[in-house]
Amino acid sequence: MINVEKFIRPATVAAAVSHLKTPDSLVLAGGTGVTLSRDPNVRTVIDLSELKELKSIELSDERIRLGAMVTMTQLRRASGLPSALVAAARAIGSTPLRNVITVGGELARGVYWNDLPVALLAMGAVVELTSESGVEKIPIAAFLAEHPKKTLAGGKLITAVEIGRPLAQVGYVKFARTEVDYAICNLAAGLRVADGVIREARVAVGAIVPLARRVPEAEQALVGAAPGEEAFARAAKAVVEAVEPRPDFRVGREYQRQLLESLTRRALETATQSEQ
Amino acid sequence: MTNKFSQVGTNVRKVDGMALATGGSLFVADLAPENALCGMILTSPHAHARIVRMDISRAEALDGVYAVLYHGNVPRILHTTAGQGFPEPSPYDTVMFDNKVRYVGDRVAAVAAETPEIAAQALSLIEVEYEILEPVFDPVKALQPGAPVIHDEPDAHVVIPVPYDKDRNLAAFVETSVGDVDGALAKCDVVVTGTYTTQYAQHCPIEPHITLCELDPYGRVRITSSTQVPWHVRRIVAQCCEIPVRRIRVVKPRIGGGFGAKQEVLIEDVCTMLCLRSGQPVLMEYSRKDEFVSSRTRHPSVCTTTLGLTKDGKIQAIRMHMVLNTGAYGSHALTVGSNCGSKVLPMYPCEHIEFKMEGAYTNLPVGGAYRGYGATQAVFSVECLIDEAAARLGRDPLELRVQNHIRSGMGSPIFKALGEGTEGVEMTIGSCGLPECISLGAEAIEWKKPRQSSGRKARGVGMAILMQGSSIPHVDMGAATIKLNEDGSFNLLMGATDLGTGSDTVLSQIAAEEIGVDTTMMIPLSSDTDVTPFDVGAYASSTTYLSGGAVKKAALLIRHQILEVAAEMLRCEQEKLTIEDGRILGGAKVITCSDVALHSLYSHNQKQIMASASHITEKSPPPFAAHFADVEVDLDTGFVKLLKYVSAVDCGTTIHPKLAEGQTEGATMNGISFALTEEYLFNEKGRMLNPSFGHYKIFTTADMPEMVTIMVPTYETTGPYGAKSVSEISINGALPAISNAIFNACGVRMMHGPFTPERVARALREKA
Amino acid sequence: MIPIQLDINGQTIEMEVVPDLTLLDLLRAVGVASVKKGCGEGDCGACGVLLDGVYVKSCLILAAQASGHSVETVESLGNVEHPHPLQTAFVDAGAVQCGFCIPSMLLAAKSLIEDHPEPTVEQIREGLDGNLCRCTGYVKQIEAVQTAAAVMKEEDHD
Repeated sequence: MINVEKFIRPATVAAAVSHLKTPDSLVLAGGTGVTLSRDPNVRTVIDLSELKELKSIELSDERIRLGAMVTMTQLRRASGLPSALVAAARAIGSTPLRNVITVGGELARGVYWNDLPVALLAMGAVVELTSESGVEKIPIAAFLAEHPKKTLAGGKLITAVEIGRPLAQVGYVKFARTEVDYAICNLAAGLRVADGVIREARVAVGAIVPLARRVPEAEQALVGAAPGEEAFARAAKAVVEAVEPRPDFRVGREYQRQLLESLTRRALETATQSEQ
Repeated sequence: MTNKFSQVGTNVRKVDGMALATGGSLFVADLAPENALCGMILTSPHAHARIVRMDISRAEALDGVYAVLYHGNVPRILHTTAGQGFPEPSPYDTVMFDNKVRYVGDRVAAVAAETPEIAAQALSLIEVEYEILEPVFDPVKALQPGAPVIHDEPDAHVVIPVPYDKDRNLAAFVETSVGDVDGALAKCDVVVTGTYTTQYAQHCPIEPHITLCELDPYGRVRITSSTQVPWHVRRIVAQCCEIPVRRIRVVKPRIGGGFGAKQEVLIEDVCTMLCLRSGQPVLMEYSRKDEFVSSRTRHPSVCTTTLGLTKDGKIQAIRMHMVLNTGAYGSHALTVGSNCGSKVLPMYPCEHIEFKMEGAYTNLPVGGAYRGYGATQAVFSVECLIDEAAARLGRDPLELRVQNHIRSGMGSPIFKALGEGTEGVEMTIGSCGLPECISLGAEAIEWKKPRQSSGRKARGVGMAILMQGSSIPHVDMGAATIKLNEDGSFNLLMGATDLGTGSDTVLSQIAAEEIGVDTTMMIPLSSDTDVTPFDVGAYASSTTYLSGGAVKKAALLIRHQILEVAAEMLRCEQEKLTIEDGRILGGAKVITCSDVALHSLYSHNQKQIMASASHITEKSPPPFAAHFADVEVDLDTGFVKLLKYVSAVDCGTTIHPKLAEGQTEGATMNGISFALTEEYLFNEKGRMLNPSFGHYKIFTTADMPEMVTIMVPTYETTGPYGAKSVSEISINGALPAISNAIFNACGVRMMHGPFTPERVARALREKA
Repeated sequence: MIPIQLDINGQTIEMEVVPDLTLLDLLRAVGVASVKKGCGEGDCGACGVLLDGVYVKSCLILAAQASGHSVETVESLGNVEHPHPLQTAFVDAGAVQCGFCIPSMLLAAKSLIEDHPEPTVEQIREGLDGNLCRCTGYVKQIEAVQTAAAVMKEEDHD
């Protein structure tokens, strides 16, 4: 931040988006990820704090819409949100961090420990991106297919996240050494069950991989099966086989695999116990 | 129990509490003048290297740089950074800057500059060429023949007659034995043995080390420092900077926690030298990373202990072999090592005891004083082995402890055999509330209640019993001065160093009780080397017991002086008079301490009512404690959830019950966090990988278990109003109590701290 | 340099700052001693302030970012003669040992009592989870928050 020349606080999304083209600009939401940045190239900071239109949670019959500037504390306190979303919001940092960390920031950051994207992957959320050429909505899996920095290049701003109804049953588990810690492994599972058979499954993993992602191998192992110990064990095995843990100075490879196995089962169990 | 005292035993308002809670400018950083230069230290990126070339000229030439220090321009004065009494039991193996670095984080150079940015830039301009040497990180390997020699300089030495062999990386050595351990073990029905290790951990005061040095118009250096040992700072800075003690004044303001980390003269010497060289005020503060990497740590340990018992459950023999990793310098290695024996072995009196301790240099961060001071490391093995023995004998581990533990009136040959670098002091136990600690603690944890394990979660309960000491007998001294003011208030000038513990309050209560006034009439001032009398400092669990003794003596002298003047004023015999709540009773009329002060200062035979007293102790009466842990182990992930923790403590009289509880709770929580999560992680080159609170996890409110604290009153006749120490003991219990609870829950024995999910999971796999 | 204007405990200040100056360093530079630097990395929580009433860590907020907003620190709560019920409760409960982390923790407590006027132990544990304290073991602080909340509720009724 040492060479920043300008702080801009746009009043509208349109104005914010128009500034994104400014060379060497940086978007500031909650700030926890960027204020300590030593990046000498940043010249312009675009502070989104005035964008009231991005600060609301909207619940409708069709969807849940989270503005990009909605904080984790807002998610924690809102009523009517899926329990997995609230659990993921609660899992992030500590109170004064949750008070400033935003939905958009959690998605744009693209660091291994981000908690929210894992839950949103299992929910099949859609990310709304706004640029000068308009608004586009892309599935979060596509948004995270590459590092968010790349996805957002070319003047795109995350303006909202939407979760369509009917909601899947979603379970989210975070594993860390203490309550206020960077995740060692995040796991979320989303299920749609009809007539005692899993019709649709989403299994997402984070922290143990460089960037949160879905695990199709596990999803395939679930679809068509009856929810229960047997199917969940197969899914867990599939996750262990499909996911290559990143090296983590805090834990060894063998233990990471053990976590993948047990947390997958736990996320699936939590999902079946969650509200529809 | 009814309180026969008016001040002692009451929860008076902590004297500095409201000033702190309202955010007053009380800490070193708050007191720095605006023009203070920023002092900053360049540290070594290598674990073991010789500096073959250094060029500071570009740093010196940088605008805004006032002084640059390195081994080429400062005196080479061998000393120890350990803030201990003189001559220190720690080896003289440190110089301000050396031409060799011995761990990642070792000092290389320092600068004083106008701003932190300029200082950082100056450090980056210092050219250092290193010749990398082979490092050694394992303390056991470091002691083996052929290991790299860390202190190959000829001038490192010890200043008291103790074994020291730097050529084999031996920084400290203690050996003692009584009876015939081998013979006794041969006759035992149950022999349990194990090697238990503890990890690198840091004190984590929320205020890192910080020092402000200013030259006054007389050419004296005023050092305002966050220290537990102002007098040792004065002496050691004088030594290192080659200036007389009389040129130095050390002032201790409020301290943001210490826990032993600040019983170390860590940056005061460099800061003073920068101040002297630049002629400017210099503020030097450690970053959180510095605090982890370059400050002091708890000596990691490898402890092999054997217990022998006969089938009746009686402990017959104990053998302990402790290897302490002291890191690159031998700070506190000998005395922490001695305490491994002296604060643990007497717990179970028996006729056959062997103790051996080796303190090994390695190329890792430096050990130091840390709350618990060796007892933490050593009690882990002994208290786990008691449970192992109980399992073998089919006995309740609680009952086995009750059968064997030390009691009032008993002694131990260890007290005499192990001192602090010298021989110890023979001692029999006076007050001992251990039986009550055990029974009340057991009740609170519901010891006998069967724990239901459900699904993949296993429940278990475990305990440990503990002892510590109170001061270092015949070594440490504390002193206090009290003087009376016109309004009947008293200045209480103490060497004793309140580092956040509340000792200013506790010592004020003792003085007030002894004189017969309310505590609010005391105006405590702790630790200004120009103003208050000497005290060794806040360490060795000594402040209440030792410094409290000095305060009580001085207060008694004051009381006599007041009564003498009062008797003169009332024309009666002094013996008839007493002081209650500041009023002198027993004469023809009631007068107040204020009347006495006004009379003595202005009316007749004028004099300042004032007195000083010093105190040393004859013994080091142990506080005792019983700790209990109730855990739930996740059998899938190995995660240990601590559900409830009970600390029952006998610290004699609790002078201030809430502060005593607070000491217990703080120490307990630190011990729990140490047992479950805290550890340094290193790469293969000896660099710490987690030097931040982001990755070195200490417990928050979200992690804490249900905590129960039980203070068990006893009366230690040698202590002020029956008090013993309280601050250290409760950090020692969590490691063994939680290990025992995990064993009880799922049958795996955790012998290496901390009990991280990964370690527990591995142990569960190995068992299966 | 970036021009900023902000309100600190009811006083408006205007100045120019370097762009990477944190709110923490700004507050300390203008003499707000209660805001402490224990890590400067967003971990310890000793630098907490209320920014437009929201409890945040001032080391993770840029001074420029705080421009146009209002900052409240413990100096605005009460003083030695007229302490806030939270300050009284903390001192009397024995929740203040070294006191370094306390000013920030008091603001966290104030914020959590605003959200939960009768906080449960669980709510207090969550509300204070950003504040590291190495002295107390947190027991007395949780007690103090409950005591203060009761007093504050009482005062509200009066």
